[in-house]
Amino acid sequence: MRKDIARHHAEVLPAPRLFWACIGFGVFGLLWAWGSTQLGPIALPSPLETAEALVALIADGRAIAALGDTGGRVLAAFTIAMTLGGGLGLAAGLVPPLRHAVGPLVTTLLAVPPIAWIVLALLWFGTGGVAVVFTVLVALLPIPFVAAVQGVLTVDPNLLEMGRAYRLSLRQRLREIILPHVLSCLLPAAVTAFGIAWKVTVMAELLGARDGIGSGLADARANLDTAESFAWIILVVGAFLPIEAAIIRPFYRRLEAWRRTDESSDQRAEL
Amino acid sequence: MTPRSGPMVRLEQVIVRLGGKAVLDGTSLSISPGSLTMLVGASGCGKTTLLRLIADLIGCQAGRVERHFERAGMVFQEHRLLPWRTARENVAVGALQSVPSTTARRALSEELLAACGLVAEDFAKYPQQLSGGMRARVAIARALAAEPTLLLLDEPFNGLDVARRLAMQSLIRSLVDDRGITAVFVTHDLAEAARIADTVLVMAPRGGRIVHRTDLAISVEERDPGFVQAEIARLQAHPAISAALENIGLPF
Repeated sequence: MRKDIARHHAEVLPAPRLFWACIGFGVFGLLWAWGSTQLGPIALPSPLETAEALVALIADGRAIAALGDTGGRVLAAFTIAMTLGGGLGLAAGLVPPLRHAVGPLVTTLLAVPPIAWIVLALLWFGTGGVAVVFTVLVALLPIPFVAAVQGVLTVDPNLLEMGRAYRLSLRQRLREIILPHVLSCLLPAAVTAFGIAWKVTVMAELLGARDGIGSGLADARANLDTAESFAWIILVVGAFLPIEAAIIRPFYRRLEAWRRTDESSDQRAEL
Repeated sequence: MTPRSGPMVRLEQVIVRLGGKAVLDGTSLSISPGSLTMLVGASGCGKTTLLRLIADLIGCQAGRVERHFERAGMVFQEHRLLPWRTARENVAVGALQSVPSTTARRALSEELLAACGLVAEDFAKYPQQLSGGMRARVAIARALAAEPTLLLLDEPFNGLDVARRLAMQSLIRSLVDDRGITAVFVTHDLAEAARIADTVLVMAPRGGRIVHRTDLAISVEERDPGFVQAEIARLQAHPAISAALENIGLPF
């Protein structure tokens, strides 16, 4: 039945979605090229000038070095935030007094804009990688914290009772019932946090580091080199997608293998 | 295992209040070791609460509860399998307390799954990939993995077709006969009770009191369809049961 529907859709649509995506990007590129002829290369460099600037960044090694610096900071802040925030959230979920004490504090932290944290980080740590990692870490922490707390609070009480019926210890209940559910709440939060980490890292580097993609953007701006600014932006976006696809998504799929079985159970139900 | 002489479970005038309502209000019963006791009654009459009390998952506000069993294995109505664990791993959860070695737990789980009628290729499947009957078998295997002296079953065969239901009834009966396990089985199905029970207890529609007890003396092998029909009719003719049937509309 489903295959029939899929085949029907394939017959109605003249081409796959990729085709339409290419059309969208093509139209965007044409508008960009037309805009650059109207506004001039200082305000809006052409796609070709941007491509040349990007090739130059890659050729002289600056792109690779900046990607290494930025990527390292993203991964460091992301890993620490997920571990610390997730662990603290788990503890807060399990211990109500801790939850009531830390919860409002985390909500307050959520309201502090990352730009404020970078100012404080620069005052405390000076310019450099530590200030950047600190800023990203503080910006990310509430995300896994809230997800882990929600995870603990939404564990199926029937499963918890099953654990009690089989006299499972707290450690066994954590491993068999609570942690797998919390993990299923943490993983979507991790995807969100990774995207935010990438953006906040670049912003923090722009203001508080002498290397990395953000610093490259700051230099390009100082030199009024708009084409190179565009090239850095393309590098940021171009680097994020493969890293997300190569690291985060496979990790997600591996840990959530049991969820992918839902479709087969639907098919079984139909049978 | 040598069956004990006294009752395995004894409740005397037990009162359990949940959410301000007395779900069990003066319930008394005793469960003989090595027997299969069926509890029948209307929805909301307190059957599940009674089972949870016996399993020590809830306490009582008044009355006396005696539990003379080492370990209980519970099969829940909704099976309560862990969706992130395979059939084999779910069964192993039941053995976490009784079998310390991971390898031994795995071997025991596979043995019990096979004994409950699952084939090897299903051992590594997640609950979502199994049919309702297979999930019930996994839940029973998990209960057995706890090496229980008392097996508590809360309408575990709801939603199964007749053939699967009959097969599962035979399985439970053989567990009682072959392993010497004592079982307390909650059901809506009087035929199920007439087919495999040693004792049938009927609960009042409200307040959870036992209003009728029937001990079926004849062995399960000798119970032909005629006996089952006659027993159902006999049970239905009893004033306590006919009153319950009028209130609850048991499916006969």
